[in-house]
Amino acid sequence: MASASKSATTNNTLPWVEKYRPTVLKDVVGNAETVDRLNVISTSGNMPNLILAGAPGIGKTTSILCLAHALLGPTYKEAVLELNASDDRGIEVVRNRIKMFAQKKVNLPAGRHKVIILDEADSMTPGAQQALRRTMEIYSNTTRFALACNLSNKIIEPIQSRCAILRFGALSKEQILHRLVEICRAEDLKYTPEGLEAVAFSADGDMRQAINNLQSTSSGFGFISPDNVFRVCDQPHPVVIRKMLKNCVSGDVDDAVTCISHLWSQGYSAVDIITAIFRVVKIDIELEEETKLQFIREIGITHMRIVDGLQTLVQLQGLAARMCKFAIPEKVFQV
Amino acid sequence: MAKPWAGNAIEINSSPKVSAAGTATFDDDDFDMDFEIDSDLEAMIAECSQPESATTTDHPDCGATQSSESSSRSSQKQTTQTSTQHNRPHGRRRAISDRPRFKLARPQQHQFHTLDTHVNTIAEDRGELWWQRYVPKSADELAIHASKITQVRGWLEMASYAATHGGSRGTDYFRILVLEGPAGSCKSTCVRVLADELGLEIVEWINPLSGRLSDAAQNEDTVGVVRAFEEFLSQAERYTGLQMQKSDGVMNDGSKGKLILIDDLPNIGHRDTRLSFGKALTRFSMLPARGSFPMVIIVTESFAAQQVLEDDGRRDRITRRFRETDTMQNADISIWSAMDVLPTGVYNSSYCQSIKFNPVAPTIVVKGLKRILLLRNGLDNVKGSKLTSTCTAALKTIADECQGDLRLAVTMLQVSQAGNQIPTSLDSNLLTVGQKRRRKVGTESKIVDISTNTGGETRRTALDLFHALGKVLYAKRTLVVDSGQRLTHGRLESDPDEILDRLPMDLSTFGLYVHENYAEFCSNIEEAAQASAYFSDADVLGSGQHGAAAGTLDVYAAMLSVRGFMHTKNNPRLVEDSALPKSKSRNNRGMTAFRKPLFFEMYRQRMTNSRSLHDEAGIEMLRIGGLGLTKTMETDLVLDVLPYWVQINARAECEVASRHPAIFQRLVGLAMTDKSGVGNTLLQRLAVSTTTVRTTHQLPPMLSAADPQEVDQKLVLSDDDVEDFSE
Repeated sequence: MASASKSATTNNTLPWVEKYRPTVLKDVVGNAETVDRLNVISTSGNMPNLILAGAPGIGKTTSILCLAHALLGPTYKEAVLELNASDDRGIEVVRNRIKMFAQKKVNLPAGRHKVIILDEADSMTPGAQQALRRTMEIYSNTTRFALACNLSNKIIEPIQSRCAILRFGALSKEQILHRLVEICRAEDLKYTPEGLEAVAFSADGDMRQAINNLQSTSSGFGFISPDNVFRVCDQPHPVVIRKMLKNCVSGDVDDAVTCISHLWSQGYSAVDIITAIFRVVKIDIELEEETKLQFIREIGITHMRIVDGLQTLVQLQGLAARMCKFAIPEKVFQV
Repeated sequence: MAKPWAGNAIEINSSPKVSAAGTATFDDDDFDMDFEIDSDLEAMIAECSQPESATTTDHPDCGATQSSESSSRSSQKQTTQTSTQHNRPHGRRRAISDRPRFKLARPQQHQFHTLDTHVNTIAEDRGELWWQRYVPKSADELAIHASKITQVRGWLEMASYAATHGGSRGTDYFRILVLEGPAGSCKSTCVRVLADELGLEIVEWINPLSGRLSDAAQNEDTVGVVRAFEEFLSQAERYTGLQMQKSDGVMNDGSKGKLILIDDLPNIGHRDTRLSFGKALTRFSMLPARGSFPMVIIVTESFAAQQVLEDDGRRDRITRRFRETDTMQNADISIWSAMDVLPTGVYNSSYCQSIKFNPVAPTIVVKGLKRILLLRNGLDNVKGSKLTSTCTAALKTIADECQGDLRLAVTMLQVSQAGNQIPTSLDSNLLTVGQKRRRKVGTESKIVDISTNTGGETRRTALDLFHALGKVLYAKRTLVVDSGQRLTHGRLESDPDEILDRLPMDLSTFGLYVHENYAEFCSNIEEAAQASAYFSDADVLGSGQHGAAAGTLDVYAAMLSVRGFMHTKNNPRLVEDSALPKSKSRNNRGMTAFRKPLFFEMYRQRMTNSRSLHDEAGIEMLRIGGLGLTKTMETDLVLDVLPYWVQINARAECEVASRHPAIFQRLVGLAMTDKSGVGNTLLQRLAVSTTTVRTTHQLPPMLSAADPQEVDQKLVLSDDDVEDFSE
């Protein structure tokens, strides 16, 4: 990957996520504290077993790859074993491939260890994790593990006990925007600030998705504007949703339901719409504390019904109506 | 106390040259990195105009005459650096690491140590994991309750006595010891340390690479592994036979025997493997103790919290699970207790004893961490060494965070030290103590200082658990003056979303914590009622009943419970009648200790109970009605049958056995002819109860008594009967 990004000819074919993936730790965006800690580890050389936990697209894998490069330099190829969910990672693999690699002799500078990177470790079965437990101990003189996962509580306790858990928080909009601007400059892209904001919004703190969306918008339209972005990402336009929320806050049932129906008629699925509503509510700072709480509860309940299979317009309209109800004084409902 | 890591490696002379007491086995390049000295240390060295000496007083290899720097010195360089100048700008430190390294000179005027010492030292300097490097070497360093140590030691003594002298009834039962407990509760360390103390050699089972097995085994790996396991056991037995011909029971190499340790379990989620593993163990447990070795199995509680939460959502988990066991499907099972690992027949038999380990208490964790810090700074055997209060507080936080997992605590300490969050600072004149050629006389009390370095304020730091909990549960609000000129609560001081973003754990687990502790923070019943309403809504959303999409709903659940509680708490609308002082008073009750959620403990108990229910009553029902146990029947069992069953069992075990030996004998006889297994279970229970009595009450070492007759006399009466029947 590193070598590919250097050669100019292959650049055009690379997805931007790979092309602009940081190769040194200091370039990793966000989570300054965690990345700093990794930086210290990369200089001291004694890397403990690590669990990197956090939502997708916030730099877990990137950080660990950077760390491995920093630690191992030219020996990276021999001394790092990378397995992700697409590799078979059953017990067999743990028993054989990982152990075999752990036993392998590699000439490394003193104080360095081989690194086994298990990406998306939470998709490993508990049985496979169980098999990993003792392996981590026995070969700790020569081999260290780095597990990246979305949910650290999908990792069994004995493994957690053997690892330092580093958490990655979501990236802020500013951090994502900053990086997007850098990429736009590098790619010589035309954009409007709102367009980039739209990209950041559509990605919801996920850098990978943000960059992917940016790339698809640019290859589709060549210009980053909010409309283009939402057309490419195929997400309900937040402006419509914001309008609906405003109607809800003011208790305007008819208009709120109309907004929902409008989105529905554009062909968005119930899941798309509910996810977008939740996102807008979450970042809306104008909502009152209590209103926000009630909205979240209603959205949550509706979302639950939707994932349970009721992907209907009625559910969404019902949601809109219930959200409006909070704004309407109670005595109106008294008969 | 011999500490291999105290074996010295480098000496620092008055010149800022560093020389290593290296051996010819390691070339300079090896040292290069480890002993890189940066200018801080150099400055310190220059400051002390004499050769620095830390004497390792009682290391056998070093010899007290040797003036040398303890090896911890080199690992200290980083921490020293941070302590002396940890408030200087970041850039400077980078500049330092760019400096050329000192090349290590060949050792000059001091004696070489044995190769062993060096290998150890170097290996440690290369960076080991702390929890392996600072593993206790003697029983008094173990961070567990003394009674547990005594229990394990007692068992090991009995077992090794049985293996060497054997033959005597009673000691025959010491075949398998099961240590159960959560991760990081010192199980393995305890066995290793005690075995070492007793001179037992540990033979450990490690799951083999299937590539290394014979051709036949390669085709069916899992079977191969089990075959290898059986081979391993039989080999262990065979070697005994040879060695045990020495009748005095003392091996040539001075060790009293071997101990088979199973820490790395075969894949018990696989049906065939589990069955054959069980069979191998059963066979092993039946071997006569004499001429064989005792076995210690370490069963670590192992589950993924998320899975448990989701399973708990699907309430039929338990029945499903046992259906699986019945039909022997391959299943990824979580391990809650030894019963999930060992076949019931072995676990309940009299040949198998079990000792349960608890999570390590926070105070003991702090003690253990303190020991490591002192060791690291070479102050471990300095009288009066102590940590500063900030340091102790930092350790306390770690101890609270690790939830009784000592290994995790040590890892956290290591990472925090590497990350300079808690730099260790050492006053150079406090470093060394007391041999003849001491450079400076330190003050009376040796102080290791750890201060929390907050670093840049702008940094977005992750919250620690208790901080996050506190933010939620106290739900502080800014005070504003309302229209009626009264002070009232305004906006929340901390944004709930931000708290959730910065959590040190997963949303669902944090939700459990909030729920466990919220009640004590409610000032009145309205608050409690409303908060619990939100929690119940959150529970519906987060129950994991919604298939693959469950993960997305966790966010709602967490937001609802956190926002819901924070909204309810001190809400200006809810506490209308000038409630400010009232709700304040509740807050001012001083520090409320947060509790950790009981959920997992409860779940564990439930699994265990359900398991024994199936083992005992289930078999009985099968015998009576010829039916398998269904879910509805399980409820019936618990409500109708179980109370009587317990009564009967209790009578059988206590009264019958002790007061009416005749009836007891008949019962035992019945049990032997009864093919159903119920009687068998009963029989085994009796045996277990008697052996438990023995292990707990006969703690003085049997070896010292060394008289088989005496051993017999100490046994409980009914024991002989049991054995007669089982022969």
